[in-house]
Amino acid sequence: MPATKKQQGSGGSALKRLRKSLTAAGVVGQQAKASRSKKNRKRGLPTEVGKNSTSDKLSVIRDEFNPFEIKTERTKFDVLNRKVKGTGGKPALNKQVGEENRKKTLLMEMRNKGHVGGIVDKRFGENNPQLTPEERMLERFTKEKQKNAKANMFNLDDDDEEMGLTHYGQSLAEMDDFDDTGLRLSDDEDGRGGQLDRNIVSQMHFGGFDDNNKTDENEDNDRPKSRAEVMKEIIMKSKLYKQERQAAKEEDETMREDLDEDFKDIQALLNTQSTKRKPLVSQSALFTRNEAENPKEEKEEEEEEETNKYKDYDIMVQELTRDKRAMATDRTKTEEEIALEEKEKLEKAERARKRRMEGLESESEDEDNKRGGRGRKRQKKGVNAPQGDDLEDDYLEDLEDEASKLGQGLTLEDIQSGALDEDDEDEEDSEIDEEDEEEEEGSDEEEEEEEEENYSDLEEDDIPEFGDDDEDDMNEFGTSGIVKKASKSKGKQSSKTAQQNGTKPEIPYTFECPATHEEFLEIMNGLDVDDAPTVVKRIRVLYHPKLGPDNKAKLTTFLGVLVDHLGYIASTVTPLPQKTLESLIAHTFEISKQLPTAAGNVFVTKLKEMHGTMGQKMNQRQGSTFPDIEDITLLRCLGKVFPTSDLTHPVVTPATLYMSQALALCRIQSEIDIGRGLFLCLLFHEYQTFAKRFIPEVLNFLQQALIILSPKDLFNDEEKIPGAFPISNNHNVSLHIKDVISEDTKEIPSITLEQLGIESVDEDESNILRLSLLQGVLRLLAQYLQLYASTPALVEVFEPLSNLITQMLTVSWHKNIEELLNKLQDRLKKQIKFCKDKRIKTPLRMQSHRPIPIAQHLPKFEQGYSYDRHYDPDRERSEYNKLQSQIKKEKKGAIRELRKDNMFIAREKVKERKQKDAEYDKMIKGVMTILETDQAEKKRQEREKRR
Amino acid sequence: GVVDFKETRQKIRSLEASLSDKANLNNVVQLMEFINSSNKANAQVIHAAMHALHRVFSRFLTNGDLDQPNDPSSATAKVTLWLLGQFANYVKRLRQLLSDDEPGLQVPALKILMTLVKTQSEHTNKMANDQLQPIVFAMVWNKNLSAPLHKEWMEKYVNAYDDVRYHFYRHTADIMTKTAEKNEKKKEEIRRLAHNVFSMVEGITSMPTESSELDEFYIELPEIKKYMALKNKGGNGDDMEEEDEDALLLGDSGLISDEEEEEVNNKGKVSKKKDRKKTPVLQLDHHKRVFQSCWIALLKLPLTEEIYKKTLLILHKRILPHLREPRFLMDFLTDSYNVGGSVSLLALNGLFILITEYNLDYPDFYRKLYTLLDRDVMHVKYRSRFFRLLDIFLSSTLLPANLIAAFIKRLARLSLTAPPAASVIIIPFIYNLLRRHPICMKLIHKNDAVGEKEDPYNFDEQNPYETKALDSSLWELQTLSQHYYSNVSTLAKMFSEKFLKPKYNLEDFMDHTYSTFFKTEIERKRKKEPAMAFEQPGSCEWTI
Repeated sequence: MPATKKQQGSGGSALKRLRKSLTAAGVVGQQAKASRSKKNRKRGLPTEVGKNSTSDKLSVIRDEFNPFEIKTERTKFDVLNRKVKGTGGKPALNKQVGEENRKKTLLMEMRNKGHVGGIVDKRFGENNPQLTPEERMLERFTKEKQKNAKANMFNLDDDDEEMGLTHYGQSLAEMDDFDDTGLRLSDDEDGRGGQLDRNIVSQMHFGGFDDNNKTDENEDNDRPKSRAEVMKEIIMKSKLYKQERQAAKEEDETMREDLDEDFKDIQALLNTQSTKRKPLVSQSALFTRNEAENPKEEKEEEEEEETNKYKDYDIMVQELTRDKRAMATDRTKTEEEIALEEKEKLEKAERARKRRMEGLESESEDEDNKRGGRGRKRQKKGVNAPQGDDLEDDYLEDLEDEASKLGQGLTLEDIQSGALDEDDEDEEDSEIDEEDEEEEEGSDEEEEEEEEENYSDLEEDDIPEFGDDDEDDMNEFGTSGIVKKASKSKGKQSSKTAQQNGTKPEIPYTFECPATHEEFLEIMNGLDVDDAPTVVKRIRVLYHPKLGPDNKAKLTTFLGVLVDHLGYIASTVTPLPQKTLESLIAHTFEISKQLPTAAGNVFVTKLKEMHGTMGQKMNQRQGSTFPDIEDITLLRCLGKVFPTSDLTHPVVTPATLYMSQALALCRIQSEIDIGRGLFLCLLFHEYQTFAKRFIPEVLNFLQQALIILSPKDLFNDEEKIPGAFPISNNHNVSLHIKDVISEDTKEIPSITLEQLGIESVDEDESNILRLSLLQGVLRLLAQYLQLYASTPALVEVFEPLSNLITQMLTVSWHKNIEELLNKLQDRLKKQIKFCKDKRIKTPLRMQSHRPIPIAQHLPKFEQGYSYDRHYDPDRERSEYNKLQSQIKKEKKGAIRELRKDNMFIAREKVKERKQKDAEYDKMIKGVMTILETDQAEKKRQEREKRR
Repeated sequence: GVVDFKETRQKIRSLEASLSDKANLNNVVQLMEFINSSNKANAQVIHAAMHALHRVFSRFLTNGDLDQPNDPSSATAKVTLWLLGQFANYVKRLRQLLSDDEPGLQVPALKILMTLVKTQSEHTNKMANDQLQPIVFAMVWNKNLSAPLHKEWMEKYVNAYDDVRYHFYRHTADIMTKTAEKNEKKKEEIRRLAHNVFSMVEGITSMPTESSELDEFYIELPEIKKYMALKNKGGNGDDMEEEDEDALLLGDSGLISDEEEEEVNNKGKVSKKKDRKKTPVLQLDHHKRVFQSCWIALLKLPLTEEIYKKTLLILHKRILPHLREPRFLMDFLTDSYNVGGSVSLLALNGLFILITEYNLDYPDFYRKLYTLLDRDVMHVKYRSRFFRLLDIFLSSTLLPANLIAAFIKRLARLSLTAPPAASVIIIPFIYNLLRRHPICMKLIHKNDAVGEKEDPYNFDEQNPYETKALDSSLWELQTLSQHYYSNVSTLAKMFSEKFLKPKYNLEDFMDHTYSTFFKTEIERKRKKEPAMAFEQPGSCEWTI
């Protein structure tokens, strides 16, 4: 409102302005009618409120021109761009609005006060005084509609009807071109006539579109011509054009057919466009077929015929489009390229490992997956377009296609010959060649292990072989024919397997995939322990994830079984079947690679179990608390399956924590405990080969073991034992070596894992065992010294050990031990000296970055500083202040409202009382008048009587 | 057996019923026979008889049949005396049952004994200490202090009621001092006594710190009732005490004679004098006194190492605040601190309170503290507790830098053999110390062109001021940044970054163990599948 006022205010005196606004509103002047034109209405003149009746308009204008209704506050200083709230306003209007609102709400409440009962009308908007009855009904209607609409949301039929425009039930959206529908809007019809014609055509042909008609009617209404005239004109024109068009259509038809003929000739030239766009003929045919799919819509017979005519062609087109196109294939790779690829893959994997070791997100991990995915895709493509050297793959493809048959199809012969074994193991695997080559190059010993080695043939998707001699591999690629080699190795293998089968009980060829370890043991019943890898391999062949949808789940459970079996073999079979274990570990590795998540879960549950039992044993304080052979084997397998060099790894980190806890907290009670601890140290060494992380527990344990095993009087005074490792108070057990020299033993045997399965040791064997334990300790210490050769605190870590060994060397030892001690001492001295020398050159400088700047306390300069804004640097405080001010504001507002409410109530009460008083007065007056008249009558009669 | 028991129970019932008539008093003897029978087979019988007799005697008690007769020669007096004898026997038997090996008998015996104490005291309007003292005696010397009995005794009585606790402390202190003085008992018995007493006093958690907390009484003697009524009226105890003080200021109550005072009391005015005369159960000071005498008597007994450590463990929180004169424990604590090892660690806490709040001067405190950092300290259970205190002791910025450097260097050295849980504390601890003492920054950053060949720091030196640690370098921290546990290594890496953080909150790093680490690691949410090794596993080492 103030804006309009200002606008008008610029136009001279008040009287002029009044006149102007009156004319604008159309109250006075000639243009009263015309002013209602659309244009003006769009511009918003006069104000919309007063367009209905003259009195309304006048009241609006009056309000606008009443200066007493507008409150303006003079500002002392005008500041540019400053907006101060509350300088202008309409108190009277506001007051009135408030009054009315109160009348609607508060007054009603007041009147209903104390009233009990009645019907509560809960219909929508019934109690809302702001809504007119019409609006109310409209709201209710829309609500109901919405409710229904929700229920029908997924009804496709409804969608069709409501969402798209149709003509004769045929969606208009599908008719992207009107050429064939009979609605012809030719290009030659132009100008105004053309426009009109469109209207007519749409009227004639789309007779059902009421909306269009309506708008037309509206427009027609405004025209000076009468409706009848217009209609007549339209009909005439339309008839005329219809005739013309029919003629033109025929002409066009012939012309187009000619063009079509010609078009085929130049189609080749326009190749790019035309291939995308379907040929017109077929388009129409498709269109009709589309219609044919809706049985409700009956088609005309001639169209039917046309359909038949093009049907074959259409079918063919369809088939062709659905057919997979021949893709460009990779060229057959040369040996160098394959080798290079392998090398790159390895390098990439190594990079990823290094990143993880530093605790960074391995960028290549995702990449790896992607790459894997791509690789797999490529291999799938390969199925369609076999490469030149994929000789066996064709055969394999068939196998894979008929995966279901494979189970039974696996015959004795196949497996004996070893061909199938290998063949369906490697599936689309082209690396078999390489692998075979490797085998070829391997020594005889490797050939013997071929049975075990075969696992690696399985599923070599993208991760390559990492044999001992892979480097040689790279160099010797291409020295000889691949195919030949493959067959050669196969032959070898077959002969070997035949041999095996001759001597050993026959292993079944198909099994149920064992879901529990018991089931697996049933399978293994009667078989040799060493057959386990073969069985596992066959299970893996039978239940390869690619051969069946539920094989993945089966293999997942089987992985758990396999891990169980690993532990089972390690803890039950003596002597320890090392080769079997190794090959089983390798199988676990392979399956895990296929199912990383499952492998993670399996090992995590195992770890939890192990940790739990260790805790229990520690609480019970009896028996050996150290992880037993089974646990050690599982931990070893874990270290092979997962990368142990990662900074954090969901499986390896808990495993290392578990191991270090065992080393740190388990009480050493016997030689067996020390032995198990030593194996844990060995495992740790294997784990840390790459990352070389520092493990205090290992060194503590090893040095403790030294103390425990040394002769009793060597380290009598606990105070004087060098080093800071804790000395556990195992006074109850004495494991000191009694016969230090032990002349009758020539060589001290190494500690083996299977020695540690028992719980107690015979007295007479204990001395040798202790000696070999000591030997193990010393060997491990030497290994760790090598591992930590570059650690910065080498002096601090190993100097006490050096002192310890010096003290140990005061006694004469068995020659093996003596030798080890001397060697270790030499190396210690050398390395410590080396480290000290290095320190002279490079003192410790950990803070070699730029010095930290002194904190500044200058006020911060704000660009475009405004007094009204708050620049509190303390976020919390500023939020708090904001909320406080909001509360204050709201409180004030609420108080004001309440005050107004009270005033209103008081006013209403006064009004009510006054009304009551008035009624009473009136009643009294009435009564009085009656009485007065009566009295008067009475007096009059008395007077008359008197007379 | 079952039939037998039912018959006996029936008999007990009929006997009990017959006792409502005074003529059949001799039936008490029969009931006593039941209760005195050997307990092995018929615990149930004893149980039934026990309760029957309890009902009988409590009726006698409330009726006044067991009051001391005025005229000992009369016939009724003789009956009463006989009855009193029977009652004494009964109570004695009950006390025996407290050390029965059947908890099912111990607990009801205790209940009955305590109820009898209550009935007797309320009948005579006097605390029946002659009853309670033997109960306490039986409890602390108990050979079979079973868990249910212990629980019952602690939860229902000692911990629940202020007066029972008061008398318990009083009697226990008495018993222990007497035992220590007489020196008759065997060592084992004394050890049992100490064990029992400790297990009880350790469980007492309701020791008040304000006199207003004295609000639960087992035996509501008239005086206590009055006190409670007053208290409820007055709102709370604080108000009352203020009133007391006002009264003291206004009127010179010392001049009022006893008679007058009684008058004053009758008038309902409360005066300090009256407060002093108040029964000891209502005075916090007396509670503290008995508490203190009990503990000191206990600490004089020969204690096992376990009890000794446990005492030190609760000393600073549960014992020192309630002592009337905490200085009494000075010698005990300094001796404990000098023992070395974990005992010293535990004593440190109590010593700290004495030093800070009671002005104890401990010579060479830091030297001793430094020697506490021995090779085992990182591996003991109480290491977090120790570090909390160490943090407080080393929090002053006014400590000499060479002392601080010695501590830093020693901690760093120990971290090379420490479990990850300890390393995780040591690293932020060193960080905080370095922040507080910037001179020590040269430990991690040497500006000299040439380094030292031999480490000047002497690890074996006991005096922290002479270790020359300030000239050394913290190579250990660099090795720690290669620690196998990523939490430790990442923490250690912060020493080579800018020192921007003002301080680490040590509380975040306390109280970890291998198991907590293991748990967090293994339960960590795994978003993506675990990374797999890419190297084909080769052959393994099966021998060492």
